Amino acid sequence: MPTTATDDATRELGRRLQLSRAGQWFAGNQGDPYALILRAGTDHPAPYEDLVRAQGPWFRSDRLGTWVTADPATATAVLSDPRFGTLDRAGGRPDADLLPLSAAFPGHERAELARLRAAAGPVLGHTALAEGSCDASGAARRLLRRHLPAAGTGFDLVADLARPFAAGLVLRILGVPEGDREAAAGLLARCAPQLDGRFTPQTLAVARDSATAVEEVAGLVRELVAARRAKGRAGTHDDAVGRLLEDGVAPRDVERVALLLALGVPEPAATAVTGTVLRLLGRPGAWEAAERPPAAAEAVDRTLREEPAFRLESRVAHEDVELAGRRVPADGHVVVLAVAGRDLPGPDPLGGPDGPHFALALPLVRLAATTAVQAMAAALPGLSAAGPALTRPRSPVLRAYARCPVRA
Amino acid sequence: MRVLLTSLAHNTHFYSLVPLAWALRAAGHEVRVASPPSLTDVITSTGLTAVPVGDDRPAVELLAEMGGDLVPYQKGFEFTEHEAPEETTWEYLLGQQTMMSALCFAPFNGAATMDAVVDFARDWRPDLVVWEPWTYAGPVAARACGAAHARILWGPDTIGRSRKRFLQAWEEQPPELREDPLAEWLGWTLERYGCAYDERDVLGHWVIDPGARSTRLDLGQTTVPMRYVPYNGRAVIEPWLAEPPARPRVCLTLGVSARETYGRDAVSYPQLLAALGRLDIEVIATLDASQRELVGELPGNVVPVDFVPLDALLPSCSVIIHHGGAGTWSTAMLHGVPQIVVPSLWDAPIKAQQLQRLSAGFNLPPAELTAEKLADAVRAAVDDPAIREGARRLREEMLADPAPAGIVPDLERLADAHRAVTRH
Repeated sequence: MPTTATDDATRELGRRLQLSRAGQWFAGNQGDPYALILRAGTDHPAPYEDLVRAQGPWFRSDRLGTWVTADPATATAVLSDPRFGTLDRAGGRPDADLLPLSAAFPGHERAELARLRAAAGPVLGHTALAEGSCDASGAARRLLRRHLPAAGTGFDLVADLARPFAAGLVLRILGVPEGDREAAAGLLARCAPQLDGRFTPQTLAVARDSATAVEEVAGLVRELVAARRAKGRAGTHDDAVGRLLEDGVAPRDVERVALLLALGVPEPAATAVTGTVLRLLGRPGAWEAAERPPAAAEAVDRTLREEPAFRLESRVAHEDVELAGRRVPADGHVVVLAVAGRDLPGPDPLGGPDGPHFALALPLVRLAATTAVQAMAAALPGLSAAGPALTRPRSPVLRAYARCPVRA
Repeated sequence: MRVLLTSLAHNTHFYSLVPLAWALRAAGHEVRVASPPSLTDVITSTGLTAVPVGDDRPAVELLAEMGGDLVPYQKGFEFTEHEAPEETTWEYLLGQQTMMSALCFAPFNGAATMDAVVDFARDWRPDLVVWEPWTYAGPVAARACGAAHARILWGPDTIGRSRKRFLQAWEEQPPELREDPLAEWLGWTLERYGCAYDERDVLGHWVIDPGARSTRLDLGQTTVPMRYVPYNGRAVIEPWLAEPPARPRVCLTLGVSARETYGRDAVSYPQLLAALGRLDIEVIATLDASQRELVGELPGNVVPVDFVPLDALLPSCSVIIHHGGAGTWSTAMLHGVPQIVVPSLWDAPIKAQQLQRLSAGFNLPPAELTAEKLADAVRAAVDDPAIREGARRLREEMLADPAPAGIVPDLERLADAHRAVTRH
């Protein structure tokens, strides 16, 4: 590959990414548990999450300038308190200079998110999907069958099955024409590091490529909505974009919902599928039992509770806030560790109306994972691990898998 | 031939280049020293020709952010003789490369400096670039103009050892987990000038090593051994230096580098001085005016001096106590003086451990230092013939290597060989 001369902006971007990465490494070496979470090597963050939780309602990371909570009550309070927003008062993401993302990456404020979720609910909410909205379950089952390997073959559960399945499903739900889906699936996969890049700097190449991919997906979504509008009421509306437009949702909002789905479903769903399969394979009899839909659903719920789809939620105080014994000043950066919800009741413990930024994507993540696990357990009863699963480095939000070798 | 020397803008890093620069000059070669403008006066005061390049703003800003105290930043840079198991893990070694790249090398080789050194090198067309180990503008400029480049060390090659250990661990990692921040940084930097990354740019086409043989880390690189020749800055022999001391003379110095750059000494002077005051010795303590004020009243056997060229003082000393700085460590070895090292920054711990293992001194880590331990070490270093013998052996090792003038033909040959290879 011919080398292209590095321009000033690229060099400066690389410098900032490396500097913030080294800052996290340095803070971790000083024992800062939040920095150790962000450092995101291959070890599981549970011990560091426990250290944060052991600090009480708040852990203040002085070195990284962040208030962190893993306390259920404080976490719930932060997420439901309108004084905490997504962006700072000047409209910027916290640490945006050190952790640059694509300009198209969603950064909705609370009111806008609530509006989008209300608009999307009748089409993409739990109940709607369970009642057959967009034929999501049927589509998921058909898609999965296409990705199932022959019995006895070795394959990578992540790259060969979970990831293409999840991307294919979301593209089908969005109404991307079948012929365009394979290329679009590759594009969606390239976006995933942006979700982690909000907290942990990626390598220069990945940071640039993932930002470009998000821009392209945003463009794709715009075209999709425009095409659907041009098509009018003709055709069957078994896709979310068509249904939302039909429901009278503003086209700009449909684009926003579609982008949240395109970014928020594929990798979290692939991770939930892989995590659930690994958990079930580790327990005698559990995998065989998961061919029954309720057992599969319960297993996925369990996985998402133990390993939340979005492990870190970022908020910014829009004014001085007194909460749980600490005063967070205006523009103070607050991070909620989603494992705080582990002991709270309900299927989406921190996923209520004021839940994660990508909460809108969670019902489809759950449906995708449940369908995949159930169908795989039924079709591949002899599935077994064929080597250690690897976690992608620098992935503190998704804790995405790099690979998971299995044998059908 | 034309030889370009590069150094970051810090006296002690630059001083390690001066004797070789003069050897090359005296052999008739053209020599230039490229460094940010803040070092220009220091360069010209050595009689060498300075090329001011870029600026040292990124380094100054970073040091300001660190609050001037570098000691907390040593965590993760445990350069010791025998690494603990946790210091050889992928995670640890990756952290070292991550921090070295972003906190050490990139700030001291900022955008403006890189561009300016490359511009100069492309214009002046040196045959050889000699660089001190933090100044990656050197190898980058050499690559950009096709010159050979040699890294000149000022201590055991801990950067090289860390790199080799890292590369080995990298090989052992599954491909998905591999990353290499130093190669990433050098990669995009070299690409700016139309060059592709080459691992040899990290440690030099070859290495000029002025260390005593027993202190070298064998990393399998092409190495040109060179006798250490001290350059400590401007030197004037005061009359008292010519007088032989009446009692064993002990030099106590925290080194120029620590005094000038770091906000806080690693050890408290009054604590050390009080312990030494009770011994039958003469202490020459390097203290500037502000330190003298802080220390208060001195014991009767302590003579404060503001600055003294170590090369002139050490032949009259029985022991030196210091923090393990590069010039001090090497100059003491060259003069066969036993050393008591209270190691602080960077590679000081490994140097202190080496001296102790080679029976040429003592390693007193700051965390374990007490007045008694220091007094005991001074007594032993003064009285124990084995320690004096150990120090003498290191001196002999150094003297056995060719002086800078003696390696000039080697450098000519290696530069020729490089030219021959790149032309075909």
